[in-house]
Amino acid sequence: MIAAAQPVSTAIADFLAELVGMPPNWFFSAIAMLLVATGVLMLVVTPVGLGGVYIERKFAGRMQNRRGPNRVGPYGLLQTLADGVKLLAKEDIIAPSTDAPLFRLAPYVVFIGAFTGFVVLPYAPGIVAGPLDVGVLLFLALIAFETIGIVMAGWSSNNKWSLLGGMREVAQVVSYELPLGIAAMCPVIAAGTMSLNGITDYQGGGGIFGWLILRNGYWAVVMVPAFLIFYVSGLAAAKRAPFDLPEAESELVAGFHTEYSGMRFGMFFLPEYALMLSISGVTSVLFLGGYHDPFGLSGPGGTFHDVWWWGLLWFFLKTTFLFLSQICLRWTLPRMRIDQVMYLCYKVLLPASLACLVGTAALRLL
Amino acid sequence: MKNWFARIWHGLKTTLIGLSITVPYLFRKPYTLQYPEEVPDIPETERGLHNFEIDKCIACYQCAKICPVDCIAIEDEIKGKNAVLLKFEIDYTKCLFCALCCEPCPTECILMGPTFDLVGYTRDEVIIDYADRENPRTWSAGEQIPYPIASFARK
Repeated sequence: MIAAAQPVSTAIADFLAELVGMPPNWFFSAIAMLLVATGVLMLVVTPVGLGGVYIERKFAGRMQNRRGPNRVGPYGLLQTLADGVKLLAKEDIIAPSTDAPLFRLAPYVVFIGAFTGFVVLPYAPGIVAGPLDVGVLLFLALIAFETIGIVMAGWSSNNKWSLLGGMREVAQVVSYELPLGIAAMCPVIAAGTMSLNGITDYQGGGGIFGWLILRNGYWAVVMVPAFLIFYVSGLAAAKRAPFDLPEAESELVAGFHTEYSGMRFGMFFLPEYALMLSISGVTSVLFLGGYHDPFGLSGPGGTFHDVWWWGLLWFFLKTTFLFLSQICLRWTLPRMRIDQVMYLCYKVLLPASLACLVGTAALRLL
Repeated sequence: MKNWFARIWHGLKTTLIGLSITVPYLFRKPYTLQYPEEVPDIPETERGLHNFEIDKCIACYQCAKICPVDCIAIEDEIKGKNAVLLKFEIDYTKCLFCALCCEPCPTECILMGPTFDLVGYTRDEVIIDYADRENPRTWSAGEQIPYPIASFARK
């Protein structure tokens, strides 16, 4: 997408310069880049946030024998849009006892942290915003970055529920970073690269047995546990049930965003779904072959080699499957206690992920 | 160590059992009734808004007398041997749907109907005059639903 965005921003910069009647310089380039970035963000935020919330509510309804939203627009599709307008129109309350600068800054930190994750995802052959060599590392760093915003929100609210929510978030996400990172290292070691594009290319060809989770059959011994560890840690990092302790609406009112209202609340609400989707995307890239299909048609020499829509279709299918499985888990499992969360992280996932890492290294040497 | 693996296996297994219970609900028909568009299934003995047959009424005031909340207001005019109803108002802000008015009626002209919803912007809008011949109030399009005790009295 960078490749596509650069000519667009150059064209806009030239147009702006011509409009003003000055030679194109860095100033117009900066404005054009801002415009393009805003446009891309709007293109990503709108479907991701709104679609995610709609799917979640529809699923929640159907799992409880209800219908879910069905009044606004066809099949209730515009319900989230209506809610967004409602949030925009609401009063923006900042309590006098809050630490106002931090309180205002926190939603943006969370928003940026969650939505920047989409930059490194390879959606299809040739469609990636930032083909970084350290995509996995950047993604893990962004999850930690989002945590900072949530701690800021919890601390600056000057509210015990918010503070407890923020503290739980730190305890949980910082702990789960370890198994998440170590489980992510298994595909990195197997593919020999930290670039998400490189890992995807490594899994091309050979169909479903080219994917890392089932690579050549015997890789499943380490990759299936690593996948499960990454999935569970991803759930915890995205604060999804059964790990939704930072929000814990039945104990902490709304956790870290208790004091937030209006669009500031919306800025916490949308990133949750963005993070779910980007974690699902990274999981599908690391373990499920990314944009490669299970029949081996997209590998080198296949019928659909380097066909962008075929890759996009399979990436979309895998990511959506993981996203929907997260929603199903939310409506299946009750929330865990904080000590159970810590037990699962340090006594189960961490040793298991280390064993997977050692196993991957051994298999790599074979 | 054995216990450790057993706990992991237990956690995975119980999660899958839970999912096997919840996921099939996605493919079931929702239970919700889309109320204003779909009419709920009303039992035959529902005590809803009254069905009143103005031609049967003999203005005997029995219903108004027995009403525990005095929600029935009747006015009539004697013409020869017959009484002509001028007003038969039921105040639904008071009515408690006890169906006591149906029991003493000698002609079975007042019965409980199946309709359960009546709304208005003011309180006057839920005071219904059943004797208004120009604006007749018949709640159910079909036949009247008999009140069990009244139909027992007929036999």
